[in-house]
Order: sequence, then C-alpha cells, then structure tokens
Amino acid sequence: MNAPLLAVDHLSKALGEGEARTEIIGDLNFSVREGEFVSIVGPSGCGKTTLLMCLSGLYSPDRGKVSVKGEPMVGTPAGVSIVFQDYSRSLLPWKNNLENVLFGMRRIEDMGAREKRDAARETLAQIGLAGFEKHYPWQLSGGMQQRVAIARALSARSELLLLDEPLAAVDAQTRSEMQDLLLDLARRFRQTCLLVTHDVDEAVYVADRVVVLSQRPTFVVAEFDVPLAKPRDQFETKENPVFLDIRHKVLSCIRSMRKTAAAPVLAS
Amino acid sequence: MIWAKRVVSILLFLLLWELVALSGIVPTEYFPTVPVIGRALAGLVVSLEFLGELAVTWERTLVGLLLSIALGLVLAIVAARYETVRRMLEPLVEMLRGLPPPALVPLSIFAFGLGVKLYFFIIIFAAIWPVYISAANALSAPEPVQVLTGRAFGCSVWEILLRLSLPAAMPEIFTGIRLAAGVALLADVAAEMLAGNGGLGHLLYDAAFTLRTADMFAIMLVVGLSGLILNLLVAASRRFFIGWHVQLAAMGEKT
Amino acid sequence: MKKRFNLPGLAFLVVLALIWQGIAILVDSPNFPGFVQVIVALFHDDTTLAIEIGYTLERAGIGFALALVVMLPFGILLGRVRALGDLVEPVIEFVRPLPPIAMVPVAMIFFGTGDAAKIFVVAWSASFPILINAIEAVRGAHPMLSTVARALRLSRVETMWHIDLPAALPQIIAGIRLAVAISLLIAVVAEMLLSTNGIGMYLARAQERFEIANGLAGLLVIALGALAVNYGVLAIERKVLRWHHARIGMHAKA
Repeated sequence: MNAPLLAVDHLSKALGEGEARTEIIGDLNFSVREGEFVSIVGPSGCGKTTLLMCLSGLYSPDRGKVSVKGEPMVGTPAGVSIVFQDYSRSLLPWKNNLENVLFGMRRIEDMGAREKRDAARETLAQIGLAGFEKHYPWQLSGGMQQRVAIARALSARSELLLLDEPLAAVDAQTRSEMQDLLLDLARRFRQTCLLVTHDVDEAVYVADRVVVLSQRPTFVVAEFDVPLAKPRDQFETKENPVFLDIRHKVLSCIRSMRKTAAAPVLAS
Repeated sequence: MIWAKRVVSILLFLLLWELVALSGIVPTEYFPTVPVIGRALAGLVVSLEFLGELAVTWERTLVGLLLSIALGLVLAIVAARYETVRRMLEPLVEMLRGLPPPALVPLSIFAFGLGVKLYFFIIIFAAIWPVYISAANALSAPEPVQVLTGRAFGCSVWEILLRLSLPAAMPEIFTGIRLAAGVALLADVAAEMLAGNGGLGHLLYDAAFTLRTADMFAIMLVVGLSGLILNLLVAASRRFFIGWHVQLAAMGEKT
Repeated sequence: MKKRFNLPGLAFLVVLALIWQGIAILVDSPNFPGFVQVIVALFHDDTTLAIEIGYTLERAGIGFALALVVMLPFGILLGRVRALGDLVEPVIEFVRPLPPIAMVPVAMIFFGTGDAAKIFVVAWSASFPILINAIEAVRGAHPMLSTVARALRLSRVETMWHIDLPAALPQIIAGIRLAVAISLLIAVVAEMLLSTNGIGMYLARAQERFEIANGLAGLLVIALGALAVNYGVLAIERKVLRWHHARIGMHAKA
C-alpha cells in the first residue's frame, strides 16, 4: 500500500503570545488518500482554520508533522492549493478573472504563457464562467466570485485541494449548486479534496469520508465512511437512509461535545 | 448639470468681485475690476515671454513631482520591507516634515546655487512626505488574507510586497500623490518668489512689489488654473493606473 | 504598544549628526558648519531665537484661531445646506490650489506689511483644510444619523450641534491638524517675504549675512516647534476623540 497523499501525524499547534497563548490543535492524526474527498466538521471554534493553515504550510506545526506523498512539508508546497472562505479579499481586485486564475498557475513551469492562458480560459469555462474572463471579480455575485477562487486553486494542478468553508458566505440556493459543482469538478479533474465546513449536511453530501473534530485543543473524535453512490443528487442522496444515518451520527457526535463543553459555563 | 452649477457659481463670484471693485470700498488700483484683470490676462497670455516663464514653472513642478513620487515610493517600499528602517526614519521624517520648504530656500541657495537643482530640492523636500507616508502606511498594513493568498501560491516576501501589497496600496498612494502634486506647485512658486530666477512665482513677486495689481491677479489666476490642470492630470493618471479601483469605488457609491 | 521608545530612530538621528559633523570637519569651510557649530549658534542666539519663534507662533496661533472660528461653522453650514454648498464649492475648488504664498502680495496690498497681513495669509491658508474637511465630513455622515435627527424632531441648529458635529468630528479634526501645521509653515514663509521680526525674518537675515550655522539653528527651532505643536494637537485629539479611537481599536482587533 502506497503512502497516503496527505498524512497528519500527531500534529499540535498553539497560537498567540505569552499568557494569551492557547493550544488550538491538541494531537491530531488522520490521512487523505489520493482521489478521496474528505470533509472535516467540528463544533464552532474547533480550530478548523488553524488546521488548514498548517496543512497548506502557512503555519508550521509546533509538534508532529504533516507530509504530502510521504515527504514532510516544507514551506507552502506547490502540491497543495487552498480556497479561502473570504473570496472577496483573497481574489485580487486589480486583476480580472482570467488574470486571477493565471495567478494560481504561477508555479507551473512546464507551460508557456500562451498555454497557461488557454488553460485558464478552459478552467473558467469548466466552472461555468465562460465569457467573464475580462470581468473583475468584484463585478460578480458572491457565488461566482467563489467559483473564480476555486478555478484559481484548481488551475494550480495541485495534488491536494484544501477548501476552507468555501460556501459559508454564499446564499443557500447557490450553496447547493456549488456543492454539486465541487463534486463534479473533483470527479472531472480527479482532484483530491479536503473540505472544512461547519455544515454537517454539506460535509456528508460531498464526502467519501467525514472526519469529526473535537473542541479545542483539537483531536479526531470519529471518522465515518460515506458509502453513497456517485454522482449524488440533492434530493435522492439527502433522502437516502444511509445519508440520514451518517448525518445523525455526526450530529450527535458534535452535540455530545457541545454538552460537555457547555456544562461548566452553566455552572459558573 | 454639475458644469452648469459651476458656471453659475463662478459667474456669481465674478459679479460679487465686480461689485466690490466698482463700489470703491477699496481703491481700484489695489482691487481692479474684472475687465481690467481680463485685459491684463489676455496681454500676458499672448506674450511669448510669459509663456516661457509658465513653461519654466511647469517643467520644474512636473519633474520635481515625478522625482518626489519615485523617491517616496522607493523609500516606502524599503521601510515596509524592513520594520527597523521604518522606525529609523520615523523621527527624522517627523522632524523634516515640520519644516516649511520655503524656509529652506535661503540655505539651499548656498548649497545649490540658483539653478534647476535648487527648485528640485525644494519640491522634493515638500512633496516626498505625502507620498512616503501614504505608501508606507498602506504597505505596512497589508490585507492579511491577501498576504496568505500570496504565500499559499508560493510568492516570496518581496513578491508579496511588490506584486500584491503594492497594487493593493495604489489607491491610498494616489491620495498621497494628489496631495503631493498640489504641494509641489506650491513649493515651486514659493521658491521662485524667494529665489527669483524666472517662473510664475518670480513674475508674481515682481508684479506685486511694483504694484501692478491687475497683472498680479492675472498671474494668480494662471497659477490657480495650473493647479487645477495639475489636479486633472493626476486624476487622469489615476484612472489610467488604477482604473479597477475607480470602477469599484463607483460601484460602492451606487449601492 | 505604540508608545514604545523608538531606539533605532534615535540612533539613526545620532548617526546622521555624527556623519554630518565628520564631513564638516573634512570640508573645513565656514560655509559648511557642522552639527556642533549649529548647536553652538543655537545656544549663542537662544534668547533671540526664543523671542522670534514666539512672534511666529503668535501670528500662526491668531491666524489659525481666526480660520477655525470662521470656517468651521461655515463648513458645517455648507455641508448641511446642500444648495448653498453647491453654489460656493466651485469657487472654493478654484481658489484652493492658489499657493498660499501667492496671497502674500495680495495681503501686502490690503494690509501693508504689518501683522495683519501675515495673520491674514495664515488664516487664509488654514481655512481650506478646515472648510473642506468640514463640508465633506458633514455630507458623508451616515444617513441613519440624519433620520435619527428627524425622528427626535431636532431643529436645524440642534442637528448641526448634536448630530453633525460629533459624527463629523474625526474628519474635522484631521482637517484641523493639517491646518495647524500649515499655519506655522505659512507664518514662517510670510515673515520671510515681509517682516521685521519672527523666525522667518531671522532665516532671511542669516542668509543675507552668510551666517549659515545660524540659519540652520533657525531651521532646527522651527522643526522642534512644529514637532511640539503636532504632539500637542495629537494629545488634544486623543482626548476629544476617545470614542472614535476606541472603536477603531476594536475593529483592528476583530
């Protein structure tokens, strides 16, 4: 058996200085295999964003290690791309959509400028934004902006795509469309994805496997395989007893944690 | 509509001026009527000598302004990259900024003579601060998500500074440049008044101290118009360089 | 955190002074005084300098106060009464780019070369930042606040005093700070052109007599004076705008 694409091994991370220093990630172990779509859910404030920062190399871990294809991570590896939650700030407002996607391809070396341009145009078309190449991101709706950000991350041709609550800021209707788009893109680009979300329905709907995190300092509470057939359907899949069963398990997992955490607050 | 309002406003102002001049509250030698100033202006505008002086002032101001922008930006980029440099420069900048540039004219004449260097020095001394301060402020407080994005896509620290923070800071930098443009003209005219050696400031000084008041007001008008045109130039280059931001701001106003 | 002592800044100033002194020793010319000579000149002329900067500060202060008293209410009025603002603004926009120093001859013609002329020029120059910031601040005030004013049935004057002024205060203060700096600057320049005293006159005289060290000492005094005035204004601003800074600080943390 090959090494998994992403391996997180006894990861731990604290943030802040001096007395304000708090341990965000306690002792975290999990892995993502190539081609897998993994969702990470947890109670709010469980250090999901900090985790993604560590996985993309933006933070270096205090203890433990993160490895990609068996190699320990150094800096921000080209093999990992990230889609931030805050698309309006993460997209560069002085670049048009095509240029923003091209920005994602800056580390690809085996392509000429013209090839890159064609590929970027193609990616934008795949994501349903043909004809918007010359528009600026801020001229588009929130959902469309996040599509540009996804296109930018996809076009980097990284082995692993990290998604930091990418759909948290878009309206509910757009969100379900984008979930299907993500699934479709992951299949077509054979892209390994790691989605962090607080929406349990979303987590189960898109994933092959759901990882449930504890509250801070974070560790993995449970993992659930999602043996649902693909392609999935917003109605059929979400009414499928298997879906409902997993959803129920994940939710009760999270709720039990919230109760234990809430108890001391009520007592005081 | 806006232009109509402007015209009405200016006409009212001229009317008021004319009434004051005709009323005799102030002697007309000191406060000439609008037609007299107009004739003086017409006389100046057709004189090649005057146009030459106008060109001198414009050349000094424009070159001085461009030098100020370039120097201010380079300094701000270095200061944004190295926090120590920024803190090193802080008290010096605070101190130099408090000096009125015209006050430097007497001593600068010793250092630079009456040549073009004198005027550039005075202009840079006046106009570099708005550029440096706005750029240093904007560059040292970059948008965190933008910096993360840059790092995630493999930009080096310098690349983040020059390719992300700098374009993002351009709107704020242009605010500084607009201020600098006004200050540059001001400093140049002041230097010309104090040092002589040609330019509108010199003519103005001459007209005033020989009590040719109509000429004086006409020259002031030309200086004022020059300032207006300089402002328009800056606005046009702003649209050219950061058109995206102009559009973005316009969109924000609509909603 | 901001109040931390700026060691690199101070060290840099000292190094610059040392380099300056070093070059002066190498050049060894009366036209290139070193830092030490300037300090000597400063202490040699200390009473004169104190008296002259006193004149300058007085003129700057009176001119600034005049501008503030006249232009602040005028600006709020122009910002509030749209039609009036629209009428007057183009004239302001046109007169503003006139270099304040160009007003010196005009002032001379009307007021002679006495104090009134210089105070007029200072007041003129200090007017624009106050006026323009006041207009823009009042116009840019949150429309919600205007609605609140109407809901409370405030009169126009009450609205200006209780709603417009506090809401517009941060921007107005920014204008005032600019105006203070400009006042001192213009007072010096006006004195250089037409005066019998004041620090500007001192500079002009130092040039005529080729007393470069004294000229530099004069500049140093101006710089220090400007610095002191600036800190004073900042201190007042912090008091007046405590709520504003508190809010900004909160946003910065979030």
